[in-house]
Amino acid sequence: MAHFLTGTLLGRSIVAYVIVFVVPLVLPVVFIKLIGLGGIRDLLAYEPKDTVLHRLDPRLKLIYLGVVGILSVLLGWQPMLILFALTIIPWALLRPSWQRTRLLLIFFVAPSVAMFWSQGLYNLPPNGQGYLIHFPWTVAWVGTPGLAKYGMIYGLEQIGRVLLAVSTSLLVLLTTDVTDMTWALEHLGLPPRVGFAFNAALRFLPEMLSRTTLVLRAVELRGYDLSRPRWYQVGDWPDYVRRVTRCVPIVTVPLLIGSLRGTTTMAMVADARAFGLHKRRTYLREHRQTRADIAAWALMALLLIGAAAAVRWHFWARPYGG
Amino acid sequence: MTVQRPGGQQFPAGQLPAGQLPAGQLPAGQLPAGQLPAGQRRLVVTDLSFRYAGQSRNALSHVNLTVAPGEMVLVTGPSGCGKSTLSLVLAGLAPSRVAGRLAGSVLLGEENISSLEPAQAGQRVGLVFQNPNLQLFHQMVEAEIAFGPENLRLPRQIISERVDASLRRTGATALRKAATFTLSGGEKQRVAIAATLAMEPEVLVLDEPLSDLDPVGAQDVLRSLEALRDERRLAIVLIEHRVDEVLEHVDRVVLLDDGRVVLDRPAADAFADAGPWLAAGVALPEVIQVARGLPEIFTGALPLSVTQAAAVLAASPGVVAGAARPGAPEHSTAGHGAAGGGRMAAESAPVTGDPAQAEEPGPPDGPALAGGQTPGGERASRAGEAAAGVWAGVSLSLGGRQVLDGASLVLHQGEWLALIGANGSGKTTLAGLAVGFEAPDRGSVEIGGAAVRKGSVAAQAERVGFLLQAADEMLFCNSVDDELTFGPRYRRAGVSGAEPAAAGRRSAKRTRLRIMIGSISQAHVLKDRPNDEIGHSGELSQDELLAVLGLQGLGARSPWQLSQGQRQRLALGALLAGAPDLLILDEPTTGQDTGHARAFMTWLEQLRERHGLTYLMITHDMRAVARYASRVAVMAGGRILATGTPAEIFARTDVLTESGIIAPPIARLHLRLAASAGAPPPAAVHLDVQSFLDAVRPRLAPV
Repeated sequence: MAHFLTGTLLGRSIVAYVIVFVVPLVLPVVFIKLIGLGGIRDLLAYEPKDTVLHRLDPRLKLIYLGVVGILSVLLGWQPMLILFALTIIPWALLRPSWQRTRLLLIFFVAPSVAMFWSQGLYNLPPNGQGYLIHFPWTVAWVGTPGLAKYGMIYGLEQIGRVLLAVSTSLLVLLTTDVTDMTWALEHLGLPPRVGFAFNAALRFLPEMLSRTTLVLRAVELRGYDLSRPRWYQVGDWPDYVRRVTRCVPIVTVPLLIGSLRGTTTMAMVADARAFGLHKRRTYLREHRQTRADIAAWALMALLLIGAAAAVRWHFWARPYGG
Repeated sequence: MTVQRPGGQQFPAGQLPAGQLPAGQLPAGQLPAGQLPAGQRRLVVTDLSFRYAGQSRNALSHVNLTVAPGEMVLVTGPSGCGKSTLSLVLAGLAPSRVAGRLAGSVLLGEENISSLEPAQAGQRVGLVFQNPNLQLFHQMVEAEIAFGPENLRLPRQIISERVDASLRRTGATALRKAATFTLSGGEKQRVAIAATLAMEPEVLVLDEPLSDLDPVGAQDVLRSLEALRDERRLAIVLIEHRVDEVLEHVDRVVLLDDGRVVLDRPAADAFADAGPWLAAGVALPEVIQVARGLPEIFTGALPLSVTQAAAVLAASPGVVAGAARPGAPEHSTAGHGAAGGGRMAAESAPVTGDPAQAEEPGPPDGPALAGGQTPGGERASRAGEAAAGVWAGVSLSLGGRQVLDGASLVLHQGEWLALIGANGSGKTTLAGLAVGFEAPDRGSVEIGGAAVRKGSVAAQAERVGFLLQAADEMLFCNSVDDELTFGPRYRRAGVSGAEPAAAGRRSAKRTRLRIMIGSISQAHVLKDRPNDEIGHSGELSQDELLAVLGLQGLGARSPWQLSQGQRQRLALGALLAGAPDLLILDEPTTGQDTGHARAFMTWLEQLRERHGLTYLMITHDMRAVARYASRVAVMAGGRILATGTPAEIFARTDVLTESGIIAPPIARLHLRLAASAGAPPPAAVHLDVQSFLDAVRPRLAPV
């Protein structure tokens, strides 16, 4: 068997096709199956709790988000992984529910596998060495000579950078009420409209996802078959993909029209509640600095100083192209 | 006066209309909570006409209306009569935000609302829209209510006081720290009202605020509005179809028809002349019908509520002596009546109140009533045959919440089963199992003898048509005609969902409709007839179907140009193309006026009788339940609490209380009369006006 898979053209071709196609075919299905639109909605929803993270200055959290985003690009991958590990600690403080933790893990792992796979296949070693598996000529049309260790390592680095930004963003989203975020944006000098747009997007994204689920159900109720074939019903998958593709314009119409109609009403409500009447607003909740804020500001200052030093003196900084 | 502002108009700073203070400098904002100024100015609408941009007809024509402080005015009328347009104009949103041409004036005191920017108008006339989801911008209730005052740049202390006062006045104080996405429909509506009140308007306009609420939630909102009117002397314009529920709470009634005010009278006097109501196709409230049917008793003002009607009837010697016990033994042809005490015939056929037994078929017949009528009995007689659907001990958790908890139900072929219960009791989830939206964690679901597989929605749609409450989401096409042929088109194309040939799509209207008619007829009536004959079968022609749907002449129109009620009827018409044996109707009468709702439901009833269809109807419309359902299943907490005929279920005050249901007016009237006669509660109640009158009238003869 081993000889067949590694020593014959047919066996090697089968292995190559599995490596090339399993991830792009299976991963989206796994992602949709385990998370789905409802999962994304739950993932992004604010989690009302009374933790230190919730009580921190929302301006600090927004700035922290920006700082981490920049550092994820600037830092070399070893310090970046350390920083990523540090961003995991607040999750322990937050203690999300098991359901949300499960969603978070899938949300993190699925794109990571995709990036690892794609870099391993398509980020080729400059010297042409270091392939774990060389594909036979029968797979040449997919555009890669094989699976390379070089690309996989690079993929791991990129995964760390992306996860760092995603983890921080989700942490801020889950622990910051949108109203506080709006307050923070305005107190960081941005006009209220930016805060309102941000607010409306976060508030209505879950609504939009719910409506998408509802419309997809409605399409099926009208007789349009969107049921997935079993994984082994290989012959049915192209037809399924075609059905899903053709469904897109069908569901787009009610989604768009519904959204536009809803947006019109929302705009009128916002108008009626005097939004935009003044350049600045007052707020019911004004954040007052606490000791926790001061400590957090200090930690972030340290982080910034350390990162600036790393970049300035080229230790732990990301080498060009690295 | 004529104003045309298609894109809205910005007033330069410092050039606000005369008599208007800049927002944020309102004296009201400086007053402490609880001492906010009561409304003092009248809202006066004079010769108001409005025509939407691009339309050839006026949506409103020469409307005159006055609303005084401390007055609640009901504005009602058939779908598309201009009610929502009126609300937009009153709130200053048309034509500033909704393009159109306005003539006439809307004055609050001396101030012209139509000339104000919405931000300023919103501080004078607050508008609460139908859908609360579109009015809640924030994740937390407190932030939602504070949003308006924050925009006015009021000091923190004042904002806080306004939030407190608004929550208190709407009875929503407990919701202050709640997340908006966790609220029920009624709670969301109250928060939307509170958020509007925080702007301190003098007039509050509500556009069908009760449409998605269960009866108890609706009464909560109405009581909140009464308190606002009485304590704050707020002028309230309430736009509603549900006249029965609203009537006792309002001071005046305005009937709109075709954009015109055809009646404007005090509530007590609004139904003295039934002519305008009948002409507009709006049904009279049931207590009014009773009063009009018993002129010898109701010699004074017409009753506005069950309480008032019961008081008058109870004071009538004839009624108290005997007619307070409608359905008493001497008038029962079935001979089931209990001896004395006014108990009704169906005592011998108890309602299944034990959830463990709830899946058993209900009693085959309803109570014997005066004149030998058995309301519900004839309808129920269709049931008791083979099972169209069986839910056996199903439990389901969604998002960590136990939505269904061992619910068991048998749906018999040919019956019309109403599934009732408060918002969030699990009705829609239970029904959704029949088409495979979810799979139960425990228990099983069978439709037509076959187990339902999760995700097999399209396959199930061949047997089960499911009309979603959000019927708008079921419309995908560019025209009414295309909607009616969508299902057959994709079914005919097979599972691939391929588009039909271009020639097919361009085929004549009549041909396309024949596909739909064919689908219905082939499945239920004309199995052996060739396709060409189907279009001439006379069962359902295109024009007949469109007429019954209330869409005659609209085949080429976009569904989005129809009113909400019209779109709902279109969605159901389109579902019928699938030739289902079982139809699940999720709130089929929501958003429809009584005339259209009754026509639609009557058509459904005829369709069911003619083609042997089975209906499972989820609804908060208890009048529809009373009138059309052959059996009722009551849900609470994810369980089936009781099943029985409507006459029996609506007599079970314990079940109704536990499930948050309010019986229809006639049933409550019957219960009240029985109580005033000192009799024990009847086992079954009258449901419709005619049977109630038939039971009462003979007893009046000696009087």
